[in-house]
Amino acid sequence: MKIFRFVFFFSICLALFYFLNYSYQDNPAVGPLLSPHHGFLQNAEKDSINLPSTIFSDKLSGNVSVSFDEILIPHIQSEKHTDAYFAFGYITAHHRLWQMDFYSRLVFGRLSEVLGERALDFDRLNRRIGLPMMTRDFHERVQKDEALKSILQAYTDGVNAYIAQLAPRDYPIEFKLLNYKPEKWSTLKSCMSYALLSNTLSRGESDLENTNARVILGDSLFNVLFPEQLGNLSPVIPSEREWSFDPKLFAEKKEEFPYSMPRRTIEKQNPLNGSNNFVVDGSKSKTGYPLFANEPDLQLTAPSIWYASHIQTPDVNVMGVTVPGTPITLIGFNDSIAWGVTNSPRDQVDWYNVTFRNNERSEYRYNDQWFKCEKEVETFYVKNSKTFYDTIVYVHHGPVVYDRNYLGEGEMNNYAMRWEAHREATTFKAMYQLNIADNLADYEEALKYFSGPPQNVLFASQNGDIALRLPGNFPIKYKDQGKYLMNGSKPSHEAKKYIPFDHEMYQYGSDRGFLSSANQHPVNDTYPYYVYANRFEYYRGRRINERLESIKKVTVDEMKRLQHDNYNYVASEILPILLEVIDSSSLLPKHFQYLETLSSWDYFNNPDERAPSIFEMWQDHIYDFMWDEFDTISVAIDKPNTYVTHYLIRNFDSLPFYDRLETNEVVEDRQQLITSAYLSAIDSLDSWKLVNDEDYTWAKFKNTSVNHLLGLAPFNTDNINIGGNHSIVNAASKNHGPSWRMVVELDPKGVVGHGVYPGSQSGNPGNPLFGHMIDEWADGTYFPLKLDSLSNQEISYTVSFQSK
Amino acid sequence: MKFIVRLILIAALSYFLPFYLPWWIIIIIGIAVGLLLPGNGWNLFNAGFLGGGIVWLGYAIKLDYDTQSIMTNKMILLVGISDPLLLLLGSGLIGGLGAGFGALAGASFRQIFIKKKQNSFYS
Repeated sequence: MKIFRFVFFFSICLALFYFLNYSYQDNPAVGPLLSPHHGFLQNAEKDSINLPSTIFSDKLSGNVSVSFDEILIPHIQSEKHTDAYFAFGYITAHHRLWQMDFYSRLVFGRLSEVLGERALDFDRLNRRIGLPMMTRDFHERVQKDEALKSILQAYTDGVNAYIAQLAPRDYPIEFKLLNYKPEKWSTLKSCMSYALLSNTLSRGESDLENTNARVILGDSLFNVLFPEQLGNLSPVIPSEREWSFDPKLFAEKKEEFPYSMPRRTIEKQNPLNGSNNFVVDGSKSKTGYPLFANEPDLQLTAPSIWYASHIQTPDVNVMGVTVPGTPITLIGFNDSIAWGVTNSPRDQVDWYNVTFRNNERSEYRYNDQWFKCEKEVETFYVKNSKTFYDTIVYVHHGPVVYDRNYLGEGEMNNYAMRWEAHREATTFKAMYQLNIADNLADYEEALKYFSGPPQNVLFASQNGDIALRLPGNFPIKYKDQGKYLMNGSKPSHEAKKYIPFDHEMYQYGSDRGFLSSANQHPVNDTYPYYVYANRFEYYRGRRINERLESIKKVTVDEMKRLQHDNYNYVASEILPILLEVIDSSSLLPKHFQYLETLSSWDYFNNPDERAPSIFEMWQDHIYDFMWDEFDTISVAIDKPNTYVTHYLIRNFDSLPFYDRLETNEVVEDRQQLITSAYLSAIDSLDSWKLVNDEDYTWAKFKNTSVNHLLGLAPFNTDNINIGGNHSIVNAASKNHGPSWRMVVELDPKGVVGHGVYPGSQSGNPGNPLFGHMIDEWADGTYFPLKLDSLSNQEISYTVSFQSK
Repeated sequence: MKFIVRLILIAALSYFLPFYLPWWIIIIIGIAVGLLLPGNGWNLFNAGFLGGGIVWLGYAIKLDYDTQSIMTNKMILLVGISDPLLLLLGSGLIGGLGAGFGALAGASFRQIFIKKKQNSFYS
């Protein structure tokens, strides 16, 4: 009886332990999460900074002082260069440890270890396209550069010192929710941002889609719907630029490209990733010295992709943003210069059709011979599931991404990927040299090491210079080379030589008094080399240039205002035609009311306007109705872009594409298409109002949101009151937008910056300042970015690092 | 009197030990106190439940209050309940049940080895 009693109560204890410690599927265990000593309550912070005032480490040789300003940017000062980077690592980890771990898992294809099966396909793709391989190669090169090596080592030591003093209760909430522990950081992991950014910025391509489209549409229609160059719409390099060098062009070749019809292609980078930057020189600015602005438009995430910081040592005095995990400032300024980047769309990915000798896949055809393949078996430790193995075959072009194990449709399609990002890269060296650059010559020298992803690197200096260069690795190609799937066994399909540095595009100084870039085509057709990209931006660049031309003397406020400019260039070009063409005889009274709102609209996508919501609906419906023919195609294919769509509508009143397949009995013309799209758009808008809000102002309709990296709803911020949209300078769309707004005054008396981003330095959803800058970001407020030492009122907290 | 001692002991251990040890130490605390300061069933359970429960609930409420429920308000959305208090009560319940049943298990283990006292002729 007594034994029974004991067994009974002890079993209850065991059951309590078991069930409260058990993590069912993706849900965290209840016990550790609800324990007030261990769980989520430990992540709730009373104060915005939670660090001891003194931190000791035996890795330090001297002292470091860290002052946090009002938005918690650490101002890190030390007499010893590497000590500053140690503190930088420690502080970044304090604010963003989980995000760093997440990015590193993403790049190494290891997310399924903590997210389970739902991340397996994503991991497989990231390993197949070679993100881990790139990062390892990149790391090897970094190790050969003494300056970078010591910085990365010190930063890594700082991150690990932070991790070492963490008790499980201190782990960021995401670790607790996903039930895993932070791993040690490494200099290898610190190199992940190169692959992360290349994957975000230089992987855009439509080679296989183009291959299909050319077969289906025929060459002439394909060239109309997917033109390479659309007139000379304000290219990045001003059109007056002349090219004096001797082009090292290959002879024009007519190559036969292979025929293939892949049904599905890999997931591509988001076409909304883009950016704006612009600079005015002393002749154009009210103050007489250069004013500089940059903003990268990326997915809006919490924690934010950027971490702001200021590092000051005898070697460097730089302020700006880094990707958490990498201590090199990527967009910023120092006490002499400012620089910033926008993505320059250039074809950096080519696909080659591989012929294996047999299904052993150990030899492939090249130049009429058989060559050995390399094989790598990748192991995926999938949480709550079986370990998964994936064999990746490598040929000399690169990894065979599409094969019988991945989208290859049996043995039919074997496509190897050549991606310039796989090549030897020294981009960190270039960026670090910009961190410490003093003048134009330093800038040019730094960019010799810039391997990509291709960027429009804009520059301004205190002594008055402005410049723009488009560095990167650009293979010299003949026309159409790399635009379609190519034959992997033909040497003539491979690009071997690269455009030399001196032939790359650049513009130093400007007759107009300003330079800018906004992901548009880099140059007009006078540039001697073949330039191709599957997608350019056609609107933001034109608006920026027209604005800067029209303002006589630019002020800092005007620079800020231009970053927030909501002018809808798309609407300004197409809406007058739509309003003119629409057949008003088929409209009901309620339709006229919306039409009136549109007619009196000044094309500004301001948050409280209603016209942008109507226009957006209408435009989307026109696009869908116009290209419905493409929906019937069962192989991978792109639809023509907005610019081409509107160009056709503006210029042709009848086209076969105006016909809607849904209506069998009628063949629509332009007027019918536009009218039926309008009626249908109003129906959609009415149902939107029924579900969401009677008041369909643009901000509500667009619902710009900053979402947590895991998509955890309570950590998201929805319904941000901001205007703009993609294709608008203020590029805030639903989940994309300006991820860091920076304006810098290159005052000879001292460089001053202004900045804001949609998030917060702390990545902890339990921090009182979590996401606190989002409202300021939306309404156009900037925070001061000061290189000078802060006054006592400006300092919110101070930490001193000391050697033990 | 012994009830009060047990209660205070369990409460003190439930507050301090989990800072250094995993959450399930709350069960071990119950077992240990049950072993060392045995008593009858309900008395023991109550001491464990109140000692562990009040401390965990109290500490949870303090953390929540100090931080203006910043985390609790987000967590309730994540788990899909409406009242933040429920989540805090959950903390208290885990502390209470862990220590309470731990104490019962500890005492009943000790009971196995203690022979029933012979009823004295005079008692």
